[in-house]
Amino acid sequence: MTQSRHTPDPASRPTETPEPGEAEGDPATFDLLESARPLTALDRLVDRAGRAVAVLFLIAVVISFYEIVLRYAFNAPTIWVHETVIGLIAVCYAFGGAFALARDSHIRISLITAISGPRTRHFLHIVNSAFSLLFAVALGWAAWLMTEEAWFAPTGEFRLDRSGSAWNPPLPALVKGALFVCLCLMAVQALIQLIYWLRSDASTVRAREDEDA
Amino acid sequence: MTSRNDVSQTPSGTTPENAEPENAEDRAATWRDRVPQAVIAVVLLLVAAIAWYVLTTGKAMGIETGTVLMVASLLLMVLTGLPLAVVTTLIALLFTVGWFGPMGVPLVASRVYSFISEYVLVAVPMFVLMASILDRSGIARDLYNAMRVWAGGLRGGVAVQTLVAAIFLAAISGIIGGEIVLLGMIALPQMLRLGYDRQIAIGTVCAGGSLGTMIPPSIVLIVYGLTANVSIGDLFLATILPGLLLAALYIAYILVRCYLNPTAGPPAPKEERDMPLSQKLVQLRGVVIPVLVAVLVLGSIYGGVASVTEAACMGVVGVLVAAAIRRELSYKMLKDALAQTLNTCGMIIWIGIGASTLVGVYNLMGGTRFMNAAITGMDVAPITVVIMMMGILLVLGLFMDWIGIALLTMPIFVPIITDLGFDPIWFGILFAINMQVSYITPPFGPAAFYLKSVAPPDISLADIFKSLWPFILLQLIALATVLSFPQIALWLPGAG
Repeated sequence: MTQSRHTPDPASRPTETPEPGEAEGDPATFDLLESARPLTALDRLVDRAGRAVAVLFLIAVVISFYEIVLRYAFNAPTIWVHETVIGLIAVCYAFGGAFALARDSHIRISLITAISGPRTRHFLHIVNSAFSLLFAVALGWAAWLMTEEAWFAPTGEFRLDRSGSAWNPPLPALVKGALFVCLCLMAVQALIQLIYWLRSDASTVRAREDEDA
Repeated sequence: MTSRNDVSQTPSGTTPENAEPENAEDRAATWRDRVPQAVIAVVLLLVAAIAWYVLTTGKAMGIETGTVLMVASLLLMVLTGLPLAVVTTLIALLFTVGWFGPMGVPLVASRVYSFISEYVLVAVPMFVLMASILDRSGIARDLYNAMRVWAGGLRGGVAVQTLVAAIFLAAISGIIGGEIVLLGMIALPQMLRLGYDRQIAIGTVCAGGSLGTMIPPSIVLIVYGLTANVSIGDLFLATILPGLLLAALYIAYILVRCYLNPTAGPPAPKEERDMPLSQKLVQLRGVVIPVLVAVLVLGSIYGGVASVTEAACMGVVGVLVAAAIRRELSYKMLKDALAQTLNTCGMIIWIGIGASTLVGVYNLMGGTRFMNAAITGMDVAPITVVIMMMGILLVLGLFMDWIGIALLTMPIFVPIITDLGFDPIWFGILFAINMQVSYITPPFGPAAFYLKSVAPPDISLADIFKSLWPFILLQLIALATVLSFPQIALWLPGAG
């Protein structure tokens, strides 16, 4: 992934019209974020929220660096950095699914889309959001079963699964909960996208594509 | 690779859209609707039939039928244009319920959980963030300019300069994409202006930019190391020579082409090349920061000082400091880089999640054992098995993303490779070269899409793919070479 746009990423998904960067006289900046457009109001909200969640990456970098300095320079490793970093990144990964859904940047193969007319592309949008909904509901259900186990004892009383390390934080339970919440969010996003496509027709698809071009 | 890209190619390119009434296009497009709609309807019916069969028959169908149905439903749904992450996860859940009943479902979720809380994978966002910051700074541009000192009056010199810059960039970047975009914006116009053969110019940018995951660090090798359970440090050592071999093949090809046909790669005009030595030295400053960052990251891995994840963190800090020294670091720049990292990781990791649940379920169904027995039971030379696997990887590479391929196939392939007595490190390098091919092969080579996003409008996607064939051939030569001489990969990690 990459891309980095990918970001591309490597793995990233190719974007279309480039927006040469804003920096003065600098031809080599290129904002790959410009091109993805959220579809619904909820998607726009998720898009904005993502920019806040992404700060967790920076926090992870900063505390990892703190740990490296403490360990190698002062020989005084911490007990909390390692697990915290894993937890922060896991939450980012979970939210990244919703973020990519909001920006329609989950990787897919567009063989049929490429050869079809606007009416079929509209139909494909409906199929696509219906399957995304099914996906989020099914995996969300699975995540709920797992989260339930991590949050409640078999007797039904509330207790959080802990990692069992020396620091022993309840991070496993929190990450599982975050995964469940993100899947619920993705389910609602997919549902609203499905409704959007069901209520529009081929001309909407064309209008959106024209705007993109 | 995404729908919108391709779409913009087809309908609007040929007809003067505004000149015609809208329904004219609709009428002209009926066949473009009927055929795909029929295909989609058939696919959906088939998928529904498979789902019904799996849910009602369950375990009784046997692992052979299970394998066939799994692959068939995967291909059918992926080709419909559904996101890979959605397809793989849904199939995993379908087979879990069919095979083990609803009690098996939490297993899928816990597989997702263990995947996203994998410590090694923490290196992935760090490398992506590092590249995102790098893309937004002028470091790469300065590096490219510094390479001018090398180009001189050489025929094809600017292309060689581009490739050398690409190698340096690859050594501080573990992903592809940003690099291709950057080279597409700086190097491609330069070569086109000098009158380079377009195919050479385009191929240089795409193939050179793809080296990002071939020359260490590389998130492809990180994910491979995770699934194959081998040392990522060793993989990073092993990939150096094959990576340089690829670059050397590209450079040799360009020099030969330009030697045979001087108009293919004219040198820059004399007045542009003539700069006083002092100025050349100033230009060379551009190399300093990338080299320092590469030494920081790779040095701490090779020196055994830090884990890959820690090294990646050092890399981010290094690039941040470099950008700050250059006065390019700003709140907005950092925020954009972070958001881009989230987007990229969302895409990569959710494909990974899907693939890892699917292969996890398949393994529980006894599929891995079945495949192992089937392949090792075949009466063929071990090397034939490796070649077959390469063929499968190349075909998958036409349609799928590297992380999906790695997580789907490697849990099955690597145990077989080890059983046959081969070195999994060597196999990892072969996999990485395979993915180099997948970046630039039509119809979905991501490198071509990245370049298209910044190339002059008169360069179409078809032009780009047409230019890439010689480079695909060179990659296949490199693949065959490392396949025949494993020492090229294994010499540095000291295993060969």
